[in-house]
Amino acid sequence: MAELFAYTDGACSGNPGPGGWGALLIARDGQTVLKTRELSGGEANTTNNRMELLAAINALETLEKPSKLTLITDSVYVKDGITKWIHGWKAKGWKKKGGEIKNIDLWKQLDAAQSRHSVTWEWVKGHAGHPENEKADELARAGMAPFKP
Amino acid sequence: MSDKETINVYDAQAAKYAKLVTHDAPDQDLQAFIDALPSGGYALDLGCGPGNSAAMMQAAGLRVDATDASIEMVRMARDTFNVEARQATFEEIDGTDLYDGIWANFSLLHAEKSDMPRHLKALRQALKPGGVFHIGTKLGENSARDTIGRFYSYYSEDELTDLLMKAGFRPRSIRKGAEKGLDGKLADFIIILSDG
Repeated sequence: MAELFAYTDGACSGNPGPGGWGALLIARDGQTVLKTRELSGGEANTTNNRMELLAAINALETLEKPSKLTLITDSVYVKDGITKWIHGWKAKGWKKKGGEIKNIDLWKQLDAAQSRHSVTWEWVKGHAGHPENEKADELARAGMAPFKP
Repeated sequence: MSDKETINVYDAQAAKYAKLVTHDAPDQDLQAFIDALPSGGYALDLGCGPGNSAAMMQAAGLRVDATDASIEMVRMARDTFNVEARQATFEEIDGTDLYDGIWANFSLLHAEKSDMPRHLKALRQALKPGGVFHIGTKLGENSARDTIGRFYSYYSEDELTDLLMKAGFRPRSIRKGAEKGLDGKLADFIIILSDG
């Protein structure tokens, strides 16, 4: 039985500044890798959190069919936002106590993207030797490269 | 010179293509394009296809000049999406400081590589100062016909960004991914939003 995993990462040089995002999708049957897909991108002027969000959005949007998958991010912001905070924001009509929701445009996109799928969200410590997370980091840095002075 | 065989494929498969590319709401690229334009701004949809994107631009309050070389696509845009599209090839786009934004989503990849600098220069001229330019193409090398007869020029990321910069555009965001096209094949693509 094939299982689907998406590893996502964002990178930013300066915050705000030039940034990039990367996503590595892997379909595995046990230890056997059946398929992989690499996605990346970047922006001239952005933040690390926006890049982390875009990595997850792109990973979910690239799947044509509704899918069951595990998305592994090294961003606590993304993991906690999508699994905890977002419920409160939506219940209040996309508002939160004490001010505006930062990156609300991307949170709405992420919410729409995940609604098509059944997603298990996991957090992994970044730059800690996880090969797939390292690969996602590499893609994010490549996505940022064209925008670095 | 516009590729007749490509135009014929779109004429013949307009309905099938419309089904493939029609969405209920703007995707992230179209939303970013709409957000980058001033309220009520004027957009060129170059190679509008069935008109779904132009319709969503109109719904967002933009005025749209929707063009396509395929008369069947133009008809579909008018009949299905109520978009006043017009038939025009890339060569027929001219004018100076007309548009606040130009949306060339997987259309210019049907032009010969040798014509690309000329087309980009004309588009840069048609764009107002401060305008934005969206381009989507398939990633790869050289030119080829796909299995259903469409002519494609493929570009690498460096090649496309160089072409854009030489025409006076400054890339603001880049997105690379993979998607199934009308020929049913998964293909790598690149989307670049630039400041004019």
